[in-house]
Amino acid sequence: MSTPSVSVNRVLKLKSSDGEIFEVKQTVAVQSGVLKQMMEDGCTEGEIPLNNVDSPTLAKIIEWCNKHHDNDVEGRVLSEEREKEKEKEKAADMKKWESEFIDALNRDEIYFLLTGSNYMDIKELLDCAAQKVADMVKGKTPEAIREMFNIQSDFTEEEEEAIRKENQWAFD
Amino acid sequence: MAFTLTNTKIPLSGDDGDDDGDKLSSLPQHLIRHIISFLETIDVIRAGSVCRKWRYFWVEMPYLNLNVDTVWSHPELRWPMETVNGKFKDFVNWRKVQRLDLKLLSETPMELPRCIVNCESLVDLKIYFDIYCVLKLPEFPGFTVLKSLNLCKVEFSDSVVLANGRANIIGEPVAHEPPPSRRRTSDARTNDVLHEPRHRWFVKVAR
Repeated sequence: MSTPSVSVNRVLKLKSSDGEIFEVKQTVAVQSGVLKQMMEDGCTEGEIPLNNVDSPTLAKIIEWCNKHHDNDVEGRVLSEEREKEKEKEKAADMKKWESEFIDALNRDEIYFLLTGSNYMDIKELLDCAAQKVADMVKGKTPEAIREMFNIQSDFTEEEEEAIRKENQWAFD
Repeated sequence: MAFTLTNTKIPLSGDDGDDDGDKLSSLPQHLIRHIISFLETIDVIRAGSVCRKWRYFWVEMPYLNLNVDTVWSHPELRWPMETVNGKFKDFVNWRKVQRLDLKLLSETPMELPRCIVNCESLVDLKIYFDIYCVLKLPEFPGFTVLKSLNLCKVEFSDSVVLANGRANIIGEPVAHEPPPSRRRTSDARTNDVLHEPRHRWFVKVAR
């Protein structure tokens, strides 16, 4: 059977770790390196089990991919300059959408999004989630970080003191 | 929620039940490295005293950096320049820095910080001049172990560089071929190597 790698109307059936089925257009699914590879290898018949991604996470991932799917099929009779302007606007809109998308997630959801996008090999989403975690750590004291990520310190007081001394320049 | 992670090896992991607490440090190493790559060194160092698992995250950083524009935790808590200078000095001396790339932006003539000139571990120094600026060379000897000095986007002014440079930049020679005849350097621009027979310092200039 010859398989044209991606066709516009075909859908993939993705099965989350908890058994829920999600349908995704092939043209959207190519954003995942793993699914893209599977399509190229022609092995996307039936349900594709994604054992490391649960349904809430998969729903989020698909929402992201749908948004980032380039559905720019409208007639393009725009001047080059107008075209560029539009690109810019679009990029700004997308940035805004992305930050709203990621800001709405709680800590655990971001964690699952990280592992899920890593598993499915969706680089942009992985970067976005990693950036979010980095932003959460940035400019925080160790105490604040502990509180945010629910971490208990396992240093003794003396150890903590010693570490601070060793890295004094990084503290106020 | 069940998870199968292929690589969860974390340095110094206590491994005593991750329950629901610290999911972040149970991420695969390469994801942690990825997250860390979005951070400044100072943040990763601070995070090192969160708990044992986080202690050596900073070792995973591709390179260490100190950005004087973002070194403040909060924009409203800007440190005075003196404090920043102090931080920079401590940073240079912190782990025996051997290679340093500096980007200079200054409209007024500036001097190389004393901590760099005196640094006893510095082997490679690279300086980028982002805009036109004048770098005053130090008036005291230093760079005891410096092997290469790489200046990018630079022009020499005879009066300044040759007068001070010869006397003060003293390092081990890197190139060993016999020095070419003394050349005028006022228009040295692209990958020029300057040899000064007496002190034999080495400067690589890229434009």
